[in-house]
Amino acid sequence: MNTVVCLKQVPDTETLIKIAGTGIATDGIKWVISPYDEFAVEEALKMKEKMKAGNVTIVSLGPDRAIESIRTALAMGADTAVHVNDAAYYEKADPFATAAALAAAVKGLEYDAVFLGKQAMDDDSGQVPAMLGELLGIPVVTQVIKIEVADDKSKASVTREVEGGHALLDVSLPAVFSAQKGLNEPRYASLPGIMKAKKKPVDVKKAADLGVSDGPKTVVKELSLPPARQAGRIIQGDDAKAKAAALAKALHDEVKII
Amino acid sequence: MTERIELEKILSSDECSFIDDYVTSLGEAELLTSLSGMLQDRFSLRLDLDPDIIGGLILDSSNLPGSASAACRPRSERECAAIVRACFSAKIPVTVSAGRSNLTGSATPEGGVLLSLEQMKTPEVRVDVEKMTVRSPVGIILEDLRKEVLEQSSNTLVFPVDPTSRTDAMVGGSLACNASGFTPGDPGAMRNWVEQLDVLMPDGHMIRARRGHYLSRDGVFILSHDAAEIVLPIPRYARPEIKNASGPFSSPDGVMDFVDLIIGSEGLFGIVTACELRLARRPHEYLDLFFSLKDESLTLAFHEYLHEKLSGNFSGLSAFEYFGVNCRKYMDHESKLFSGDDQVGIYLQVPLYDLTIDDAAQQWYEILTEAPCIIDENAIKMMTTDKDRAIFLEARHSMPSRSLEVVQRRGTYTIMTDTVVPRDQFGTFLNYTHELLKDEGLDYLTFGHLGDCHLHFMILPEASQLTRATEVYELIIEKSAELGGVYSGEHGTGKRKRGDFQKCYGASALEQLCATKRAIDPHFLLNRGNVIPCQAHAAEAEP
Repeated sequence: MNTVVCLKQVPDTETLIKIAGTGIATDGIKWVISPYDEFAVEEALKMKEKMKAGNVTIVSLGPDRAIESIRTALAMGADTAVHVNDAAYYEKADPFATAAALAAAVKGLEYDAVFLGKQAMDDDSGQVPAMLGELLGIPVVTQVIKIEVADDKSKASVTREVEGGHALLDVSLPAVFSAQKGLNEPRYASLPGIMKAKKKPVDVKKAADLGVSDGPKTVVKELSLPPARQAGRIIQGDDAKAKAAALAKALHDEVKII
Repeated sequence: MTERIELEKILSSDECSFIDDYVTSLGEAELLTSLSGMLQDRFSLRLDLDPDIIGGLILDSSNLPGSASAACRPRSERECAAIVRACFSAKIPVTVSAGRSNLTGSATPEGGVLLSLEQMKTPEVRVDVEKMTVRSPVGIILEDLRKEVLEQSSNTLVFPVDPTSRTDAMVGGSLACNASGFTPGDPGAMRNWVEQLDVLMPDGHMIRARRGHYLSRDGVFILSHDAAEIVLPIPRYARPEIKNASGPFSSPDGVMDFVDLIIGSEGLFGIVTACELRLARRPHEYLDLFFSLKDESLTLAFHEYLHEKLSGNFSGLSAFEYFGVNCRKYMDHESKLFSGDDQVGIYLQVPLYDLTIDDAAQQWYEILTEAPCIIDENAIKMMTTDKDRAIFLEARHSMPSRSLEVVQRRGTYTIMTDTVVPRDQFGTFLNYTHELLKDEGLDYLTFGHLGDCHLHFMILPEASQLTRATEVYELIIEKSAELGGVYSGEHGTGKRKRGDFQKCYGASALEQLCATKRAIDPHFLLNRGNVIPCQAHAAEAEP
């Protein structure tokens, strides 16, 4: 079973984000595989292990630094990778432009399934899986928490998460699956895996190499942070009764919770 | 260096006399109420008598029941001195607490005044990058100090002691029990890093002891103040040269640094109010590896192999941890860490100063794959990101909490050993303990600090097994002593394990401890009940 995993490198979820123009300041940021994409990598590896055959190919659109995340996925057990490394294209890419570049890269590969996270942890757009399916002309199943592939690889039974419950459906392959938390627990890379990952092939492409020319369809005009939390206030005084009364008044008048 | 220590006055002679005279004039019934008023008026120090406030402070992580008549939260060494002097004069027992993270009840009061150091925030944390030291208050969470060290040194220096409880434990408590963490050997414990302690003695005098300055001679220190001299004998019982948090430091040859007498003494001889700690260079990176093995016999083989490979010195590691029998059953993320049906796991952390991560990975790949215990190379997991490490720590911390849920359902509590034995007795001790627990049909899990031969057996008894489980614990302690080991490698003695002290060191050791205590605290007021069983000083304890 051949699978493709599309992954995005994002700031570590613990990162303190600082806005710079219509983007974020990247100084001092630690970059990681977007957590939902990690589920996608793990599922592809599990599928390969279960079927005891096939290749897992990583496809990622990103700058030079994205190679670290690609290598991490290769260390987990993926076999090869395509790195769409085109700064001019990447910097302006919106969900459509991202999906277009990924689809162009995936089209050149043999695959039975494409996995990716249900959304990237940085922009939370959640549009790429559906767009990718559309551009590849294959079905898309989103928010997947369980997949079972038929032995002949013609179809898969999929459980997806819906509001307040689960939906079970069959889908023909090839198809795009977007991974939801709960699908699996991503493995640690093995020590030999990390050492071997450095020698695994990574095909580096520019957008033009893939014949992608469509630009973004949306433009970020402004980014803003949520309002800062107000500082706490200590009610001063020695008289416990008076302090309790002041606290009750503040909870009633200002916080409006009693 | 000298054995003579001049005691420093924190309160003036007039203030001491005032307190002494005031206390003498009070009757027993009005004692605490009047004391509270006096401390407020004269020292602006609050002595809380409100049971609700006291009740919120008396329990520590041991869950032993405690009681206190009053609670005080001083903010400075002067306030500390005032309450300590007042209690000393009035013969009121004082129990010191801070983060209340200890598991042995050392911060649980058995009456008297509870003295919480959680407000002791002075002096402020100050790193001296050139000298590689940090001056610290005692009322600061250990993890906060570690973060502050990183920040003030621009991530070049680190305070390396990392007990599991470091996000709750305060610096003062960590010194009192000689806390230790993952790092094997001496560098893993607080003692190794202490440069200076400011120690408030039970009568309210201060000793500012710099390491190497005050050394006992012929088994005694001479404390002097106001033309008076106190001969302070030190404990001289033999301590095995292994990781050890079992009872105060001792020195058979009669030579001991005063700093060492205080560290790990669980507050018997004084209260640390500030300290200066040495710092280590921060590694540029860590190599974090976890691998699983079929069973414990392979673990022992690997331990021997690595000991030989590293020439008997694990100090180049910052962790050599073990996840043994039944850990998989009680651990989150176990499938991520363990391979196949493997039952046990080992975590190694290597700080990298000069080697690159790639070179270190290659080096350790060779070390591990050459091991005679046959490690499946694909079972060697490498944690490469902070998230990887956080998941591992989550897994590590999930075991005690999930065990706790089990015993709560059973209506019992966990009984945990903290023993350390010499390396040549490690296998014998483990075999004995496993057989004993299995013969008794007790549920348990094993984990801990493999590098120090310091594993915890956490027993999870059913209600019907509680009495027997306690007896089994005693047998394990006796076995560790018989094999030249100790009953505590990191948790200390407190009140819960004070019976173990005598089993480990004998009756004369207890007598020596009492002699040291008696010399500076004749009524055994400070941290009464820690280490020394109450019957050992019953006559002196009565006011």
